[in-house]
Amino acid sequence: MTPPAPPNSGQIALVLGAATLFLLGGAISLARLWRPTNALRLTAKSLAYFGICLGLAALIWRSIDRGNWMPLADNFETLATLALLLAGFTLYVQRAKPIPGLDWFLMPIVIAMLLYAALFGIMHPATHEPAGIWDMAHSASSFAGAAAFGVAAGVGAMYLIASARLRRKAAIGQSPAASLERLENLTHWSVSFGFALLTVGIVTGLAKIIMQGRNTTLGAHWMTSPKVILAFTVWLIYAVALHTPITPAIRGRKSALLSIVGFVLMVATLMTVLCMPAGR
Amino acid sequence: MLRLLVMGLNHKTAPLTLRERLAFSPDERNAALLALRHQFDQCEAVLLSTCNRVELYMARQMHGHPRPAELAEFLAENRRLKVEEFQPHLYEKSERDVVTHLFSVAASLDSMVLGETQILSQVREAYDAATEAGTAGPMLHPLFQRAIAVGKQIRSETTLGEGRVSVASLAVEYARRIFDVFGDKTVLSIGAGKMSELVLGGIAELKPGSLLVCNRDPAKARTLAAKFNGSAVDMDELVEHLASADIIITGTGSTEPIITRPMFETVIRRRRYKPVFLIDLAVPRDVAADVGKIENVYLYNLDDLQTAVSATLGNRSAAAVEAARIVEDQVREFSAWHRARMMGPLIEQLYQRSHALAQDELSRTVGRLSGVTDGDRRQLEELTRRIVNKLLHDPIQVLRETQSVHMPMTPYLHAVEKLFKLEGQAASTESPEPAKPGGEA
Repeated sequence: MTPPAPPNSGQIALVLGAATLFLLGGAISLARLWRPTNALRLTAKSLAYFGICLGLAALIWRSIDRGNWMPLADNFETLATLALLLAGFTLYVQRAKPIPGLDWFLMPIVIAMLLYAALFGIMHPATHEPAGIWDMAHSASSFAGAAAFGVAAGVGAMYLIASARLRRKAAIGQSPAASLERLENLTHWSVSFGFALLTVGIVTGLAKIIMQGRNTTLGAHWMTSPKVILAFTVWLIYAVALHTPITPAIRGRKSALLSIVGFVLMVATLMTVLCMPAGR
Repeated sequence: MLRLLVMGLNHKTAPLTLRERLAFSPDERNAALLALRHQFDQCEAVLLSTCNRVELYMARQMHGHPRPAELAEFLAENRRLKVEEFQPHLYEKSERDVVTHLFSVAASLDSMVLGETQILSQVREAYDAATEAGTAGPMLHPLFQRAIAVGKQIRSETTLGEGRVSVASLAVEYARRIFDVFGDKTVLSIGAGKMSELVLGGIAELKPGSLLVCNRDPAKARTLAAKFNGSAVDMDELVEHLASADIIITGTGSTEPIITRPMFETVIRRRRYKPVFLIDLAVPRDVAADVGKIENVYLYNLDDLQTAVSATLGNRSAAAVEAARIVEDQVREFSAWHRARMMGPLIEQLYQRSHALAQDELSRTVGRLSGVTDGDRRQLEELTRRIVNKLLHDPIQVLRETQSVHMPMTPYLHAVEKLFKLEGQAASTESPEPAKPGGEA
């Protein structure tokens, strides 16, 4: 299978445009701290929706270009897809069970991913050369899991800030804020969802390696490759974070902190995969 | 002649840890008043002890006892503290400043939560206790009666108390920042006082799944629980109830913490570290401060809540300015009344004594003279009367004018008493009955 052609400048511009819209939306959302008007809220929301539309347009254009609708062929596509998933999730949560300020924590991650996508696009991205259903399942579940962990990390950071404010008895401001319970529930839900997807990603990854045998891109010593070690470390961290009902001593702030540490390691794993296709 | 003095500390000068050690329960206050009366029988006293302040209002003889240092010593002995522990936090005011301070306190202008209404009833309660103990007299009766009237006037004529964020509503707001749903939560109130009831009322509006009230007096617990469709529970099983409660309100009169860190560490383990919101409304505190350091425990005491409330208020609001103006007017009016009350009889006696002396001397002189007709005698009497009046006119005028700004008439009056040997006579002009300000001039 021949590697796909790199994204064209129009597709990269669309992704950068999406990042700019998210950035503007985020800035306007932040401005609501000082001027909590409905007009600002609607503007920030509209910009986020337009940003998603631009990003989707870039992915659709790219898919039409290479004649394949699975948007995981290269780093440009995977990062852009992940970013849009995260942005979509943020908007969904804000609609279903609003958490004031959630976008302040998640949109920077979205913007960073889109900027990296554009950067990889410009620098000729590494390709994954999909090798069948196992590989697709592995990529899809891993990236979706990472998006869920991104949410958990963002919400975890919100939890830490909210908890610190409550502990130091800070005055309650005019702007609404989500309760610790809601933040904890969302963190737990995101970690559960991400953990399930990451488990699928690891299992399918193992299946892929076993099927590829000696031809695996990770080489004969795949068990000691950074990608595999990082993936298992992340899995273990989330396993601990997820089991707070069984080990309640790590609930609350410790659990939120774990979700952030896990996400940092997850990003490290992804960067290892994206920057070094061999994973070494 | 009596002189006003107030000594105390409040939320602006002393931390809660010190205030709670110096605070008096109603019984302790009554005992302290009796001890004061026994120790300093020549003075009047009112002891005001609330969550935010401990103040001793005194009316005492000028240069008499107790002196401020003796009062500090009295407080230290009574509360089993060392004077050095609270001396740096004490303030001391005298004369007109006492009037201004007390009126501001009653008006809630000196409260941590501007415009709160509880302070007025606390001032009244302190005054009633002093009346009952026999330590309020002709000086403090009118002062406190007027202070209470000023407090009422400000409540009725200004909007100072309107639209304010109460401690109860803020507690509800904090609860909302911790918990998302309340249907599965348990609320426990330990103590059944007014403040607990207020906060419990606010929390009850969140419709918690279960509401428990625990009190030393089971009847009070049942009454309060019934009010909010809750259940009264036994104090003996406190740890069990603490472990089941997500929101705990404490407001007992205990002088020692009833919830300690080792105790609550057990509780939080049994709760599987689920977050708990502790609202400690008691002074002295019911919950040891280090309980708040336990993970997933959010402990707020009265100071924390009141500080947060005051942060939500515009202290320079128009209502506060209007209230301060009323206080100022009332202080001026009271001072004028008080001045007239103190000075009138003294001046009258000064005139009487001077005229009597002049008459004595005139009679003695006329007796030595021969051929003095009745007409001459009337002329001489008129002459001495005019001389006495002219001699007294300037000093009395100066006396009247000098004290008009900052009420420093006490030293002058005291000097007049001493110089003209009027001591003991002016005091007798003060009514032993509670006087109504404005009722006499």
